[in-house]
Amino acid sequence: MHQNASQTEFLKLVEQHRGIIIKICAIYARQAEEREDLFQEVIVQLWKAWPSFKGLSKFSTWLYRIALNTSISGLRKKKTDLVYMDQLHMPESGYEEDNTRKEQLGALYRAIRQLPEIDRAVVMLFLEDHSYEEMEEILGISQGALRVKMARAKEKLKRTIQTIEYGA
Amino acid sequence: MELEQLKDMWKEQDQVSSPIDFQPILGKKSKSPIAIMKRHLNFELFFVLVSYGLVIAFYLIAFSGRFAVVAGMYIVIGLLFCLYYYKKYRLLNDMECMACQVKSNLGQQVKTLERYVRFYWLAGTAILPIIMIFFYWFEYTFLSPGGARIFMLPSETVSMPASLGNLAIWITIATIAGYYVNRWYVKKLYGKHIDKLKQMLLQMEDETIAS
Repeated sequence: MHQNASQTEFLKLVEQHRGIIIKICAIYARQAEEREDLFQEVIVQLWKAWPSFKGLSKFSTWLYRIALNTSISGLRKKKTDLVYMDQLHMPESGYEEDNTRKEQLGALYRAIRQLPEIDRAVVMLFLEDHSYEEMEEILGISQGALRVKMARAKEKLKRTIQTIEYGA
Repeated sequence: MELEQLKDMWKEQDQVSSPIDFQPILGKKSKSPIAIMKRHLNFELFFVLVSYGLVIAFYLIAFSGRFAVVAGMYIVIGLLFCLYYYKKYRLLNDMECMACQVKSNLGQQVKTLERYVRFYWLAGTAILPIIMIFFYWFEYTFLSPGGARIFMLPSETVSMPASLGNLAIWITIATIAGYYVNRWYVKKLYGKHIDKLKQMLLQMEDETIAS
């Protein structure tokens, strides 16, 4: 079924999962231009690989693998670190609350981007509520190693977020 | 703030905003390092085919066909280049498996990219002695004695062993220099990328050992 799947089906699935792609781009690319390039590259790679998607794994697992592989091995680092929040959709709420959330989310993104590349993927999958089994299926790291990584990453994140929040 | 608390906020980002038109992106060219390497290699092939084609045509037509053998040599070198192109293109095709697990894809990239670089380096080193031997043979066979020469050819004053010894010295110097220059060049081109990939692979492997 998937071998002959149409472009429409592909676009529909990508549209449904675009939030994942946007978040992956946000943790691996700092500037808006880089994020835009990475976003397009992920879509191009997904489309290139689409004919080989047999449906043996979930679409989201397949998408995570391609998006992470594209982001991790095709990194082009820039020196400046701009905080972008413009493209992240925030829920409708009071103005002040919205701003606080944006700041907290901004701090979280900045903290994640300070982690090593692989830890960023682990943390993102954790935030997306994936089980260690699913993380292993996407990353290829054993569950035991993932737990060790996650524990270390949590500590690092906590310290970094505190530093960002208190401006230390 | 605890990471668990941030989970909800993280997920709230998923709420739908305006739709994105993905259609125009589908027709775009990939900007991945491997796709760029493939495009450069294809350009190299195009350049070699066009320039060699012109040189071959020139030697076949000019000098009343007296130097047709030079055209033949260019055809041989052109065929060698096609083999070189094929080997490099196959390595580039094997270099990534985007739908594979991240660790396995990284491992495959490092392994294949190292093979690619080694091949690039050795092919670059080998080309200089091959060209020198060709020119030596060409001067010895086709040019009349007494004119300007690149190599010390056998003559009344220079014996054949002395001439070949001289050629061997120059080939050795050129090969050693080519070896180091090519090593520096491929490292400059791919060294940082390979180091980065290895470093990320290590991030995945050392934790496995730790567990």
